[in-house]
Amino acid sequence: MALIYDSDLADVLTSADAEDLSILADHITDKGEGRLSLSSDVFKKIHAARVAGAFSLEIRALMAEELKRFGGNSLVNLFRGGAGVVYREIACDVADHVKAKYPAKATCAEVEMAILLKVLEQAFEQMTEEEKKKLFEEFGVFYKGEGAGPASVATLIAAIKLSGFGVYKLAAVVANAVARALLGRGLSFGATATMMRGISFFSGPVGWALTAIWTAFDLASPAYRVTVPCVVQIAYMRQKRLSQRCATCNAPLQADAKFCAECGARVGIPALPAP
Amino acid sequence: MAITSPGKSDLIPIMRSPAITDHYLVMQCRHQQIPGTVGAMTKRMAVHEEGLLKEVLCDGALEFPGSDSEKMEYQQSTRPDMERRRSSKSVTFSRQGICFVTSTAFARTPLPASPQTLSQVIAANLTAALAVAGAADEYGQPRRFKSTQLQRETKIARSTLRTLKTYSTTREVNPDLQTLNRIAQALGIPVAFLLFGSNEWQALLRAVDDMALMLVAAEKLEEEASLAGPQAAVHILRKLKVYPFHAPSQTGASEPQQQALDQRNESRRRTTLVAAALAQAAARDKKSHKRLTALAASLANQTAAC
Repeated sequence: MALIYDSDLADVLTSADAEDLSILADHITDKGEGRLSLSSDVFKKIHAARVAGAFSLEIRALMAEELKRFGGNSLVNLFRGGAGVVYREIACDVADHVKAKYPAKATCAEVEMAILLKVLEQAFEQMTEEEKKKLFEEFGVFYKGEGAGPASVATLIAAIKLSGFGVYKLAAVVANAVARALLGRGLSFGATATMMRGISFFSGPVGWALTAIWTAFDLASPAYRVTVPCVVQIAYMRQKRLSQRCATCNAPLQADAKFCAECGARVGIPALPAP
Repeated sequence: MAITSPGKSDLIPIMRSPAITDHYLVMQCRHQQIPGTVGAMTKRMAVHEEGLLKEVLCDGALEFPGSDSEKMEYQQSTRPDMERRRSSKSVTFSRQGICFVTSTAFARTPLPASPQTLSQVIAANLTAALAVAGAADEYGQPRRFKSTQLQRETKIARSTLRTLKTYSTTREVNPDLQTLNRIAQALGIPVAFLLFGSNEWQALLRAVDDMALMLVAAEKLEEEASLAGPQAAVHILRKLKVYPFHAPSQTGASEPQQQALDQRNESRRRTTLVAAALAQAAARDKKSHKRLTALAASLANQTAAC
């Protein structure tokens, strides 16, 4: 059985939903059209899994390896024997390029968060006043209007960081917009679909922000066309995993929990209807 | 306070030395180049100040049996003063009592982190090149290429050389091509290197990083059709899906957004065609034609981005 050796990817990819993985597969295979730097064997396997909607552990490991190899292309992989780089290095490279600030000892989730916030910041510049207002409302923050300037973005970022679900929602906003912009289809949110209803509204500005980012931040290398959307998608998958809640009592769940620590309900089993 | 000056062969890597005790504070002198300083000036300043010269040329143990207040006083006395002095020492004491002295020399006009105008690029490049282009010293270290020597070799007036080397924020120099070419020949570099600024070097570096992918695309293209003409470089970028830029799917583009996108694509197309036309002209055989087309595509992809 193939294993994912990168600890920053293993948990996320192993526990990810097929819908989320199919988006990741589309980013890697360019909507199933293939990429020059992707071997036809690997392409066929990943694409077949995406079409079938079933991602075995072997395919998940293959996707992790491919992502690391793409990352290697943008980080001078030639001297590493083509073996790819660790995922954290890829995320840090993207963060450095988009000038996202993160502490030196930041975890992978923190680096990803810094990237998402930077994309949001870029998108904010592209938004109309109405879109800005709606974005603030989405995160439960009052928008002071045009005069507030950069302070208003700072307020929004602070509010997002303070709320656990806010971080997940931000990841969803960005990943959904990136998927729609590049693949022409958004994410499916399953149980949280009602809470995520409004986020498609921001696909336009975030999509345009992404278009601007390719040229504004030295991301012209072909490998970044894969690594940037993949890092955004993995950031979303990680936050989704971290923000899981019990279907019975709505208490937050530990990442690998099989039972809810509050009510003891088995995770993954839908709550019974009230008698 | 006495500085011991051991010979070069006696130098011990300071941070790893087990012999450091509280009685001996070790002075470490570093040729630290802060942004905007010129390497060559460091040495010149060092020559002007004999104490500094010793410190710069050798790492020595500095006996500093003073109290904390005396240490503080020494630190204060060596604070950089860009107004009056052209060189300074910054002194810091580590928790273990090790004294680090960083000798820094300032150019008369501190240079900005990255030169902005072509004159500034030429001045910075020329100064940096002359700092190391001389004959090696007895330790094999690079020495300065003296202006007088450059003047003799190139037959360019000293005043012209001085003007070219002077980093000015207000004045633009306009050297003729022959002058630049003679200087480049004396330094043993292509004349283009004298005109390369930070952006160009960075773009070149990224272009080289992408060469493997560009070559794969070029080979694929060669199999399918042909690599003839500068248009092949554009096709390489298309194959790698980095050109043209598309508007995000499912979102309407406003007129200014669409215009900006069209403009960017047009600029990328032209840059690629021009780069390929120049590079392909240098091809000697089919293989070098392919490699040069890939290089042109890669360079254009990065150049248009910066």
